[in-house]
Formats: sequence, C-alpha cells, structure tokens
Amino acid sequence: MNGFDTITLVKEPRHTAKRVYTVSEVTQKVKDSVEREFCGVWIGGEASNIRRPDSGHVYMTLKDEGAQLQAVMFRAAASKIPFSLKDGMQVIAFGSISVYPPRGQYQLIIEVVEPRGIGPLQLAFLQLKDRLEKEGLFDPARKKPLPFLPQRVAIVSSLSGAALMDMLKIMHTRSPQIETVIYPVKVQGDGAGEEIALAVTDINNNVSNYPVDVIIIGRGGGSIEDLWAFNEEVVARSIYSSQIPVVSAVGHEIDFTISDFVADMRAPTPSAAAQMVAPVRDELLERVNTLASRMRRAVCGKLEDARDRLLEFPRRYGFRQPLDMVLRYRARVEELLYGFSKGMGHLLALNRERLIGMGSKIEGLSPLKVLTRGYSITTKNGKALTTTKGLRRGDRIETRFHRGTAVSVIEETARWTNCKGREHEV
Amino acid sequence: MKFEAALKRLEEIVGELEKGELSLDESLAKYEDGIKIYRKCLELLEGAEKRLKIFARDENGRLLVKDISQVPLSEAGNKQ
Repeated sequence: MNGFDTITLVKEPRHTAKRVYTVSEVTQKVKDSVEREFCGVWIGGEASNIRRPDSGHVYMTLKDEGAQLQAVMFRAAASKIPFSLKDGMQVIAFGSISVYPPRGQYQLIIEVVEPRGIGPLQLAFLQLKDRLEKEGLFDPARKKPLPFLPQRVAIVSSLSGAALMDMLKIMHTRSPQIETVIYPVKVQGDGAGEEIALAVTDINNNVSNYPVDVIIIGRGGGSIEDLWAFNEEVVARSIYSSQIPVVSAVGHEIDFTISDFVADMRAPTPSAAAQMVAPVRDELLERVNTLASRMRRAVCGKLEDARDRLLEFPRRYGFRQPLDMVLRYRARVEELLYGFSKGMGHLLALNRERLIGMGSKIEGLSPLKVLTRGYSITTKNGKALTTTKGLRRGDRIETRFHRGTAVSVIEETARWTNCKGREHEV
Repeated sequence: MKFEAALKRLEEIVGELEKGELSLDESLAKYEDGIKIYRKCLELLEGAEKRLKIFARDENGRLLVKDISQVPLSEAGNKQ
C-alpha cells in the first residue's frame, strides 16, 4: 500500500467493500508482528545520547549511518553492566523490540550490552584501572613495606579453596611461631567483592582488640569471571584505606587484578604470598645466634686482656699483698671465659650480675686506682712503659702519680730481674 | 622493639665490640645490652607454635576471634 493507492481508495465510493482498521487494531498488528520478529536479537551500533535519570534506567540511542533506534535498559539490567557505557562506544545489544501503542513508538529493550571487539569484563577492567590510577590509588609512594617478621597474619580467602591450604602449609613450615587468622569470605559470585572489602575493613577496625601485622587477600586460579571480585572497585577502595599492609595474591602469575595494583605488594600466587610474608625462622635464628657468639668472642677477648693484666700486676710491680685477691679474680675471669668459650649464653646471662661486678673490680685494679696506693705509671710518648728496653740516655719520660705528673730525663737503664732471679721476659 | 630493629641494633653492638676500642666496663655494659636484645630476638622467633585462628561473629554481629577448632567449618561458611 503506498500513498497513491490510499488516495485512489479514498476517491472510490464503494465503502462496503473496504476493510477499515482502527488505529489500535493496526498498531496491535504492528506490535504483534514486530515483537514476534525481533524478540531476543543482537543488534550492533553506536551508543549515543545516553541518559541516566534517577530511576536507574538507562536510555540511549543506537545508531549507524542510516538509522537510529531508541533503546532503554531497565535498572536491573543496567546495574549489571560491569564497564562504564559511554557515548560513541560501539556496542552490541541483546534485547527485544517493544511497540508502545499509546505513543505509536517502538524501542529496543536491552537486556545485555557488550562492547564490540573486546570482552565486557576486559573493558571494565581497563576502565577501572585507568580511573583508579588517575586517582592515585596505585601510587608507589603510598605503598607500605611488609613487616620483616610479622607476629600475626590475616588471610582473607575461601575456606574451601586449595589456595588457603597451600598458604597455611607454607607459613607453618617457614614460621610456625606466626599466628595466622583466617577471615573466611566468598571469593567469587554475587557479593564476593563486598565480602572481601568488608573483611579488610573489619580487620582494620578491629586492630585495637586484635592487632594484625599484614593481610593477605587471595584465591587460586580461575577464569576472568572467577577472579572478578578482585577487580571490583569496592575491594580496591578497602585495600587503599587499609592501615595494615595488604598482599594481593590472586590466581596464577599471569593473572593481574585491580587488587594487585592497589595492594602494597602483589604476589604472583597465594603460595608466593605466604613466602613473602613468612621468613624462614631457622635462618633468622642462626643469624642472631651467630651475632651472639661473635659478641661473646669479642667480650671474651676483652676478658683475656683483663686476665693478662691481672697476671702482669704481681710481676710488674712485685707486690705480694694483693696477689691472692688477684688470683681469686683471675679464677673468676677464667670461669667466665670458660662459660663464654662454651657458648653458654643462658648461663652467662645468669652470671650477668657477677660479670658486671667483675668488670668494676677489674677496673678497680686498674693502674689509675693503684696510684692511690703510691704506685705510679711511667709513659713515653703517651705509651705506658713496662720495660726499660728501648730506653736511651736522654729520653724524656713522664711519670704519672695519683696527683700530678713529672717529666724526667733518662740517665741510665738496667734490666729488671724478678724475684726468682730470672731476667724478666719482655 | 620490632625484630628488624633489634637485629640491626645487635649487629651494631657486635660491630662496636669487635672493634675493640671500648674499655672493659663499656664492653660489659654493651654485652649486657646485647644479651637483652638477643633474648628479645629469640623471644620473637621462638614464640610457641600458634594455633590457627578464625574471625567469626557472635549473635550480635560483633567480630570475634576463635580457635579454628571451635568453629565447625560448615558454620564458618564453606563457600567458594
């Protein structure tokens, strides 16, 4: 039927032969045939003139070079679009044409919309990554260092996942002294992102009751859909707000999620996260024990010097009176040395008081104290002299008394002999 | 004191003692400090083997920490 025919018909007077539809009838027929024909179809085009009123529905115009198609996505469907739909985007939309008789208009009711040429989740991932990066959520300067030796580690993961078991096993082998606390969550499916985000927030809010040094969030490998919760903005925000360092350990090495970018540390796998967080306890023990024995050896050297000095006293000054006392101290020094060389750190610590007491006693026997008893120290060029060997006539020597010093010039020297008449060995 | 800081301090003390420039008194005082730090390190490393814990909620929705053995796994949410 074209315009010409219609005019012809109008001019014909045989009204009884004519089939006259009402507007409603014809519209209903259009509706029936169009809706039957275009029920559940994919339509490709450019999304334009996108409007989002408060109702939550999304209105847009799909268009190509030759035509336009009004379209709507009702709230429930619109809320499931993972990416952000923008004007000018090439999309394919799945839905049905619906005719609205009161207005004589038709539109496409979209159930699913996808970007053309890229998966919807991939696009969502790229868009969110871009947005959060611009906002500074991935700023390396904000990343917190992981504790060197955590006392307590929280793991946010699924209780039934193999990933959790792997992490627990590795942590226990490397550092059985670390307390591990699990925060069980759904790691995929509806609401998983919210659960993960809530877990991170809960653990942070609870630190005054129960301090946690580091949080691992993660799960084992899976498809992009399986891992999706870790790409959700709510998870990213919770990690960003966490005062506790967060390690993101999602899927396999090749899987990157938004949480990996926001977290203080990305672990390629859950097992790797456990290794990053838990140092090998035995290695650290060996390290501190080595330091302790070096410390012991060094003090041991000092004590040996002290012993030597004690031994020197009777020989050097020929005094007998304090000899017993000196020998007694010497015996204790030997005893301490024995303890040191046996590496008995604990026993030694018990001896600590005695050791410190010894220190002052040995110092008490230092030449400076001895001066008060009438002895003096003779030095040449600041070095204490223990022998006349090397002294020449005319050398200047300095003698230090308890009070005051005197400078002398050597007239003559003689070798000193000890009480047994042997020449003193220098 | 955190382990890392303690370890660093211990290394410093060992360094000073090994230089041998301290008097006996100072050496012994340093040694005493060193032993304290050493014991702190041991304490941090040798803490008893910890039991596995789990976050749970009481009937009022408050967050609790329990030994995992106290919580049936089904109740904790055997979710994937």
